[in-house]
Amino acid sequence: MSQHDVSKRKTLDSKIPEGALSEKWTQHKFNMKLVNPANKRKYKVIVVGTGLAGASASATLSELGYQVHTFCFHDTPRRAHSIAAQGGINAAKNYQNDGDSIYRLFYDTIKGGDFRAREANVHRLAEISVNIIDQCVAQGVPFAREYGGLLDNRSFGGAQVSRTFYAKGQTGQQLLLGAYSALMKQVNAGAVTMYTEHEMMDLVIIDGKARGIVTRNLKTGEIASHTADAVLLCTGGYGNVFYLSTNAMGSNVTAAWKAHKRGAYFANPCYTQIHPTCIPVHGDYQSKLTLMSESLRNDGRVWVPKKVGDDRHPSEIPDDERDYYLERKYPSFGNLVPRDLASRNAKYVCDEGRGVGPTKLAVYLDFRDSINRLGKDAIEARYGNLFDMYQSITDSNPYEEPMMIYPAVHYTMGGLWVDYNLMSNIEGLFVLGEANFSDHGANRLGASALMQGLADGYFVISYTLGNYLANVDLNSISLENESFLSAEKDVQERIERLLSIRGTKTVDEFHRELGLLMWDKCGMSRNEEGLKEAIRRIPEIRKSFWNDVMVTGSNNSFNQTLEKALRVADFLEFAETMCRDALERKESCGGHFREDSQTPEGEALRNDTEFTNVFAWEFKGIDNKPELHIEELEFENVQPSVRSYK
Amino acid sequence: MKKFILSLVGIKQLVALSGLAMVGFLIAHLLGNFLIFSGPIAINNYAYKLHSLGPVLWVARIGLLAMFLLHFSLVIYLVIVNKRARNGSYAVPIHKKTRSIFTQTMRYSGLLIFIYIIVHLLDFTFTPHTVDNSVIDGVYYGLYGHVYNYFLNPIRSIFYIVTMFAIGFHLVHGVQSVLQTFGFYHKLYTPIIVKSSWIIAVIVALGFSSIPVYVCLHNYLGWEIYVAT
Amino acid sequence: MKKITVKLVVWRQNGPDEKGFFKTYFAENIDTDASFLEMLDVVNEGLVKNGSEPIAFAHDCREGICGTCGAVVNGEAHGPREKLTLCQLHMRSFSNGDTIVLEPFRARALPIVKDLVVDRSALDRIVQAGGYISVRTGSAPDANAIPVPKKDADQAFDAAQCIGCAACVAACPNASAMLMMSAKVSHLSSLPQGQPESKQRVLDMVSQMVKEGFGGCSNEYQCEVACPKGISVKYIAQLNRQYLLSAIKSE
Repeated sequence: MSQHDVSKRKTLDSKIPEGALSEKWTQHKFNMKLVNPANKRKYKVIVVGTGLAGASASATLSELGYQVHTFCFHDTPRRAHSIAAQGGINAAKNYQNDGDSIYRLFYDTIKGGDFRAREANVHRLAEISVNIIDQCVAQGVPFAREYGGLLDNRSFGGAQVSRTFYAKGQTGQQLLLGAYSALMKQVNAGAVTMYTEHEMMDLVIIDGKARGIVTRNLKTGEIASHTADAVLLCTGGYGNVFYLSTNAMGSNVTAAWKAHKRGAYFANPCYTQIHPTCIPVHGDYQSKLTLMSESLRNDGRVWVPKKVGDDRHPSEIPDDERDYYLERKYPSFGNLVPRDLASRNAKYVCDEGRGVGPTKLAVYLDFRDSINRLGKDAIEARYGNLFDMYQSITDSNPYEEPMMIYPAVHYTMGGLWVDYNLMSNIEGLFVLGEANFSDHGANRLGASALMQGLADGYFVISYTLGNYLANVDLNSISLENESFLSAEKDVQERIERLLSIRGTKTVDEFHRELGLLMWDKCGMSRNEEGLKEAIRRIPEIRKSFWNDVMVTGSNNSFNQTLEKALRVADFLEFAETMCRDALERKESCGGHFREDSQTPEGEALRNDTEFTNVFAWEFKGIDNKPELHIEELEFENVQPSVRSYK
Repeated sequence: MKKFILSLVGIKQLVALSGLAMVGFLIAHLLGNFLIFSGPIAINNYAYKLHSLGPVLWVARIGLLAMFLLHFSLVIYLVIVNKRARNGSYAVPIHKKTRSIFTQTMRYSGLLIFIYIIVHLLDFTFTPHTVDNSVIDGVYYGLYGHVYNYFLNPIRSIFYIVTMFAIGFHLVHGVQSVLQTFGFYHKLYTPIIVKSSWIIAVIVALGFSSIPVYVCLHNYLGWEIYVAT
Repeated sequence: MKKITVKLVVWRQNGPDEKGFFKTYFAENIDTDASFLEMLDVVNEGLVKNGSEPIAFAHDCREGICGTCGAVVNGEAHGPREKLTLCQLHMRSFSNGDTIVLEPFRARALPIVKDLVVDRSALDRIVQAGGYISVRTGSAPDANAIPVPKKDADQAFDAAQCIGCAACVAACPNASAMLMMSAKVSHLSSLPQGQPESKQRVLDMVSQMVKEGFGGCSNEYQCEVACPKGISVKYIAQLNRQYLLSAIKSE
């Protein structure tokens, strides 16, 4: 986008409250209208998704008295991929007396997001973080404790204070089970109606307001409509557009994409977080990638052979023929550089042909020196469970030969655009958790995803939803409304069309093709040419999909092939918007390296004059270019600075 | 409270309780039976003393019978409920390698014990000692003679010994299971209890089996009957 | 890279009320580094290409934490390796020419949805009966207001690791859900926050389990063998103890 176009941009109102940063949320909570307790039960709220955001929102809203109807595509609401988060959850409790504060958590998150997040949202997140821990402990979440019985903290992801609460390597699981149990409590009380194995197929808008959804029952294939006074999407991220990612197999963009097609703006879709320490791809059949804790880089040294095509066993490569490239390029941070640098440099050395392992898409993470220095026992005490996991997956013993690692897609910071109240540009459509774009900017800090999901669900939506409902005039609607009927018909037709193609290629073949293209052109490192090529090729893949995909079975029973086909069909549309967003963002920021925006030393070069903003895209038809809307980001409290790790 | 006692966990606890009571009875019974090694006078006196307890004996007998019937009928109920819960069976038997033989055979060992108890009651409790069954070499020895003659029959002896080993099998699982069912678990003591249930099982099986073995040896080797008081 | 071919004998069942049957497939040239589910993916790709319906199996995270996957492999829930979910099992655990019999978890309370997929909503209903601490959002005291002895917190965590996969039900000769339920009961009752409801919780959860048609516990401990998270049967003992005390004190 050139400066010339700026005048044409429509700007978006984020509805950030007036006042000093630290007072905004408190004041806003007071200024917002309330719904009379007796009236709350008259409102029906639909929640889609039961991860941290969805489960916590469902429980909280039903406790307040709203009629809550909650949907998830899993067989039980305890399975969402929040469960896989390992590291922990940040909170500005300052229990360690090490100088943490709400402001410091806010500052770190803004800086970590490379100055592409909203100050007000992030400050609210930091404020709420302390309540989350209280809430979770009261629910029985078994956080790690010290011998005195008080909560333990650790420092995580390079933070200078210990503010991360954790439950071994299963923090996400324990937090999700906490939210799930709160949800189960409300189901038992009759306050939440739970629909498992229901996938949202469309959003229904009546008189400009979100008034319901269309779902498909995954067990019976039944297409049904559900009315509501407000719809909450808590449907997670879209990392699976890359086919291989650390996301669960079922994670998808469908709900968010359907809302986008009905008018909701998609913000910063190109913001993807790539995690540097994952187990490398081992074959064409590979279905997903496994992440290992970043803490491994504390004692492991990253290297590749100096020579291209050096196929010797790592133990036969002498030290002076090894390239410890992170230590060489970033002497002060070495192997502990942030995620984006570690990931990007692994890609570079592999692109140079110096990658290792059978696929040449891996680098060594070597513990030899640490074992010699500290002893095997010390390393085992620190990383025993990670080493076991690695050995169980790869059948290689990391105590004896170096681990092999490679970056993988892990989290998506982009999502549906929401204002300060978590409401999208469609009235009555709220978006929570990873599905929205709001809090992490261009790069998410470790242990912040859990915090955001729960903050949105437990403590933000409970106020902002009330404010919306108290101010809005809603007509009563019925399922016979034309909008429901036509949405149902669209869904039915799409399914019938998919089932009738009976082509020659499987859904996975298309998904893999798309994923490879996205990884190549819209992954860790991007350039204009590559993105343009992707934008040209995605419609071709999409066309081929709709002509040649093989979807077996029928729509009237459990049909996993059809489920997958419906999701991949949406990825094939979404991917194009993602590439367009990447193409327009002609700067390197966060984990997104734009090759045409780098310093003479080859480091990321942010462009604050042109891109201190949010790109929000409006759908204009499948084969048409979406329209760009801009939200300018204002930094009143923190001055954008350049990150340096040299 | 009734509703909770009659749910699966409560029923299992009643099974454990009644089983435990019967283990207690078995040990007492075994100690009594050992008097046979002290000759006819010792054991006959013991039997006489028991019988002279009168109503107390009947209370004990009824209590024991109640425990027995409770144990047996509740187990039948549990077997039916548990079988129904599986709903069909696996083509490859589930966890064949790790299931213990003692646990798997509980219902069969139990059934054998059930049959034996009926036989045992008919043969001893309900059959009085008479000159037809309790005379050895022309001398009437009462209970001692009854037992002695009974075990001279090798089929009866073998059936008896097989049943006593079935009881042992039943107890290897049963004793430790009682503690689990009542909720006792301890890192240090539980392994000891597992061992002690083996010890109890072996003592019961070998202890009772020693009587027919003794009788047969006694007769075969032509030992004299010890009649001193 | 080692490749193997295995023979699969798989339970196929079109729907909950349909009759099931075993069908044989060959998984050819499978990389031993592939996971078990990736092997099934390869078989399914072949089936779909031929226009046949693929083998339905439940799965999601494929990193052993979500609890979605699971089937009985040659008579063992989640397959031959200890403390692993099916998705974490790799083909190197098998040899060329092996026959692998694949069956769904079987229990009356877990009706078959299709092929290897079962409906585990009964486990949710057990949790709904009391597997939570009733705390409203916003009403919690400061997280450090109530110290919890580290030993208790560790025990709570240990029990709380249950992933709700139902392998314990599948492996139990009585199709009982005692291990899963006891893990929840013990997790909550190990913590001071869980005390106020602990008596009623255990009674309500057990009655729900019975209502769902699960069997009872006969202390065979096969649940512990099958549990991918290594949850101990000591939690069943703990549940039994609490149950006894609560039942006696109840009205």
